Amino acid sequence: MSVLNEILSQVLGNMDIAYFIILIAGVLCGLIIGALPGFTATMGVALFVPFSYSMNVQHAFAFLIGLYCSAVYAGSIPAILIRTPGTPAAIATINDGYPMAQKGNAGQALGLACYASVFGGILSAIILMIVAKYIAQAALKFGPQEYFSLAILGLSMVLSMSGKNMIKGLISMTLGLFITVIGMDIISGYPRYTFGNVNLLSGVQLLPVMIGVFAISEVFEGIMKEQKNEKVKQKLENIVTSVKYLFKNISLVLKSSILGTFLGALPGVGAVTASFIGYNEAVRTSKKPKEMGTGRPEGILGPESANNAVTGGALIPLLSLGIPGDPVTAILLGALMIQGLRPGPQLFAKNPEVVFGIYASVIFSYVAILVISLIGIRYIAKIIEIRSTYLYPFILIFCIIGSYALQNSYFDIYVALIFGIIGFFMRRYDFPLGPFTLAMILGSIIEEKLLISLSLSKGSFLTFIQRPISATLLLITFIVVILSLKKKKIR
Amino acid sequence: MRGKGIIPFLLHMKKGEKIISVTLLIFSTLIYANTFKFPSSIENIGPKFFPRMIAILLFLLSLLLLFIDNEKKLKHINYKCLVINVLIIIGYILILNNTNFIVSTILFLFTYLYGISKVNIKKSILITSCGTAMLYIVFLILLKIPL
Repeated sequence: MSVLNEILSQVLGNMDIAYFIILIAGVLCGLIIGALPGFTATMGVALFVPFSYSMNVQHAFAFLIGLYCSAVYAGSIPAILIRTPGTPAAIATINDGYPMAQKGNAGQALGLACYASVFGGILSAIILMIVAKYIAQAALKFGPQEYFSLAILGLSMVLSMSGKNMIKGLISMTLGLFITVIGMDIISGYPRYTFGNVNLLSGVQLLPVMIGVFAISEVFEGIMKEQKNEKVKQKLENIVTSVKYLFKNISLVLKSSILGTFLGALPGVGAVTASFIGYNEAVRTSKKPKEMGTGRPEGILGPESANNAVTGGALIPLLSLGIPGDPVTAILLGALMIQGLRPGPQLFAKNPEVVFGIYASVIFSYVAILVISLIGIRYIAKIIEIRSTYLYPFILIFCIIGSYALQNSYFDIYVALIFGIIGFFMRRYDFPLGPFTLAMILGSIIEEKLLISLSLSKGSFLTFIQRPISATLLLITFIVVILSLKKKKIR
Repeated sequence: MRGKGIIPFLLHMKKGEKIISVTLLIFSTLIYANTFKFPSSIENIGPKFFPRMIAILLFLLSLLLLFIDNEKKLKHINYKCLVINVLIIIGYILILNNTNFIVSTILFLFTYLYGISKVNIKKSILITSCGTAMLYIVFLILLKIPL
């Protein structure tokens, strides 16, 4: 209850009508981006973060969180209506969402996706509010050794993100680590791999790379595909009344939401994995398992509650430890740094209003998603009919101006373009992007904490196992690596 | 039918994959070679340490990649389309740098819609003019980006 009181006093005191308008604008942008196949939540957040600099922190995060939460949900709309996920996290929803729509119950399917997403998102926000503060307090005991070991644990998730080709995943990870060493060395100040270019002295900025890899390369990918002119033919009825299925399957939704929150908190796991685990849970607990895949309500409730629960879960390591859980939270880390804030225990101590503002933004975003979707889903569904070819030049302009706006530098635009080309080839040659971005995020933490730890211990690597928390984290890393390798061998 | 042995294996391997593996091997060697310029430090823990670890790891992984048989069929790349898009983007950046937002954006949007996306001329003009106006309001008036 004291957490709730703190939120109410800190947040409501700082909110104005502009906050709610900006939040709703973010939700609407997210609904459009998520509903359009080929555009992802990561792309949406990457596009808009540079512009958040001109807003105050509360407004900036209201917009970005609104966009993030609604984009993850909106991916289910085309998944249900045209069998094409709007975002990767909605792939599992197709299994029962599309057959349900084909049977004439598209409205019911969309309603289920909405209710499940809102439930999962709000539950994850409540868990975030309770848990993050305690983790931040525990993290006060962390030294550089613990942060190093935690970052290594995060990096070990690369093995689960790499899919079938572990070598390519590890290569992506290594390339991501290399990007982080460009620029002045943190300890000695020596410029590494800058080749005399002053723009590279402070290193390669994360946000232009993210814009390139997730937005520009996505546009290049989309341009090469044949454009299908999709029409929404289904009648959308029984949207609101589908809530009865949520109550009938409340234990499934609760379990999937908790699982999704937990998975979101693990660096490198993400909404796609969570949605499949949510779907598996639905199959396992279904009263009619043989009918799964033919349009069962639990086939939508499971994955949708899990994938949206990731939104709150991924904010746990970001806010409490300063370590992002997925590419979106990595970009949000960039947004905090643009505002001159560093997440972690200090954020809770020095800027609690920012933390509570983020909590409130998650909850208000899901409330807005519920209201807007139940009223306007018929119009939102029409977004699918927009030809992507009309949008690509606008997306590219947002990428270019967004990259420029970070430091008023044309150099950053070229960085974004180069990484757009690299990202495109990585996709085409089956090098996963997740490990690349995860390594970019964690690489500088790893090197900095490694060097500090070794200088404190006078070069002894034993320091990482002499400290109990660090040793435990490394043990967990070892177990994760062994299990991943075993799983690959079984496949 | 592929024969046994390293050479038949490498000959059978897809050209693109071979180029990537060899490129990464050369790249990792260059990363390592560059570290000899970096200053030394006490107990060998300094600016060289992490880049060298990365270079060694990348070299080993690239070598492994050279010997893995990737059966998956890779998607065809339309290089012409990619190059045209990149050139148009570079053109936009150069014109933006030398003129102003409105001129560069009108040229970019119209070229893209009419030239690349093959939208009819009336629609192209309409979307270009409305789009440029909207983007001008968003970037220069609302967000006050100094362009």
